[in-house]
Order: sequence, then structure tokens, then C-alpha cells
Amino acid sequence: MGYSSDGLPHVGQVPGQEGQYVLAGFTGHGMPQIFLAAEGLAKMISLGKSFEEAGLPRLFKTTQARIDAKGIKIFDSAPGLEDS
Amino acid sequence: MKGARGCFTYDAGHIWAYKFVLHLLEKVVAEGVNLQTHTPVSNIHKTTDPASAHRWQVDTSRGSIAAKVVVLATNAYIPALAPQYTGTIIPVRGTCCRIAVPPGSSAPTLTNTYTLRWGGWDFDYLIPRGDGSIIVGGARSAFIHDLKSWYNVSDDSQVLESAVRYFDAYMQHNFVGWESSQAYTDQVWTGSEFSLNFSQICAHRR
Repeated sequence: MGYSSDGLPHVGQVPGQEGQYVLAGFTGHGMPQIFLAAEGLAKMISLGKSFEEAGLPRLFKTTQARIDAKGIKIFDSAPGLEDS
Repeated sequence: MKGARGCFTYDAGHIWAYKFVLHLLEKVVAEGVNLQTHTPVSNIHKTTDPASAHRWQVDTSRGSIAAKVVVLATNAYIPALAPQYTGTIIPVRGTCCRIAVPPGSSAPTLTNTYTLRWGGWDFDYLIPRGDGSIIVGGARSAFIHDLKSWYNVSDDSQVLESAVRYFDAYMQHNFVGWESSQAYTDQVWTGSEFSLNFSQICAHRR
């Protein structure tokens, strides 16, 4: 599984890399999210829509701020690992 | 279920992910898409060919291709090709098994998928198959305390040894009517979770 450090998927154009896109980090919940996430990304690529126009949840947008952010939220759902 | 303290139900579905993906690939290949398997990408970089009309050069074990657009969809393996995602996208190992009933034995027919929630962070998910076998995944209590066995682990060719025993007599312990079924763990593997909630998907359809 590809876990995301903040628990949310990374979808959209890779920051700073025009023509490169990412669709990843579903943190064990890919099955219910991947179909519409992929459809939204396909609209961005094939129809030239922006992330905001593609019907994707705004929190899924991959951003430089999210890449730079420290802190791993997934330990919130595991016992005794908060100090790891 | 034995020892259940509570229960609620909702519409859900399940899908055989591998079969589904193969059907999708069959369709896109029939549409003319060029599919190349067993061709791992080693590097993606801006093209160094001044004559190329395409921005990206994708190097693989079988040669390089030029691309206008690249989509990174390899999930846990993305940091290898996009190092800026190291520590942002983290490979995590989970575990799943198939439980079978030997010929001649019988067991109750399960018609629902299940989540067995043991606590805030601990749950298993279960899918009955048409052939009477049961897919169970989770087993977190067996390995979650050993961080290096599952966190930042991208090698899913190895099973989580600590989890293998977790599934022993799982159905006999947890489900009423399975005590004499002789159900046994047929296979254990690592990989992704199977839980699927169709009601969430349908709510988005227009």
C-alpha cells in the first residue's frame, strides 16, 4: 500500500513539473477512491481542465506545501507509535 | 459472529481487483493502447534530445521512450522515480489470506462482506467468495508493534511472518457454525486492502 504522510491522496500535476502527474497515496483506501480520482485526473490531462475544474476533492491536490510538510499522521491510528 | 458487542450494516460491494484490472487492460488494448508489461521504468527526466518534440524521456529496462505527459501511478513505488515524494508517500505492507474448507466438509454460506473491528486501530476485513472460500485481511495486532516489518517497506514479495499464524482457525474462532468446518489457511500474501464501499461511489454519480 502507498500511505500518505498526511493521510490524504496526492492527485494532480506534480508541483514544478509541467506534464508530469501523480495519482497515489491512498493510504489503504484506494479501492473506493481510485475510480473517480483517476477519472478526474484523466479530465485534467485529456480535456485540459485544472484540478479545481476536474471534480476532485480539493484536499487531494498534491502541492509543494504538502510535500514539504513534516509529521506523519498515520501513527494516529496505530498504538504506541506516536513517538516513533 | 461470536462475541460481537454491536453490529451495523450498510450497502457495500466487493470486486476481484486483479480480474477487474485485466478486463480493463483488455479493453484499452482493443482500443489501440500500447501496453508494455515487464518493463520497469528506471528514470524519468527532461529530454536531452534537442530534436524531440516531447518534454519527457522515460528510461526503462528495454529502452527509452519520449512522452508529452507522464502519470506516476505506481503508488508505494513513486519515491523511486520522484524522490521529492520520499517521506510523503510511504510504502506500507499489509497482509491478507484465503481460507478454504476442504472437500467433504461444510460451512455456513456468508452473503455479506465484513469488517471485524477489534478496537480503534485494529480491524480485519472479510470477503466471501463464490467458491465458498473466505478472503480475510488485516491482522494488525500481530505485527503493528514491529514498525520495521510494515512501515516504509516496499518489498511485498515476502509475507509478514508474524501475521501468518493470526489467521489460524480464524473462522472457527469468530463465526458461529464454523466449528466443524475444518477451514484452513490456504494462502497468505502481502499487498493492498480490499475493502470497498459501493455506496460511497454511487453517491458521486450524476
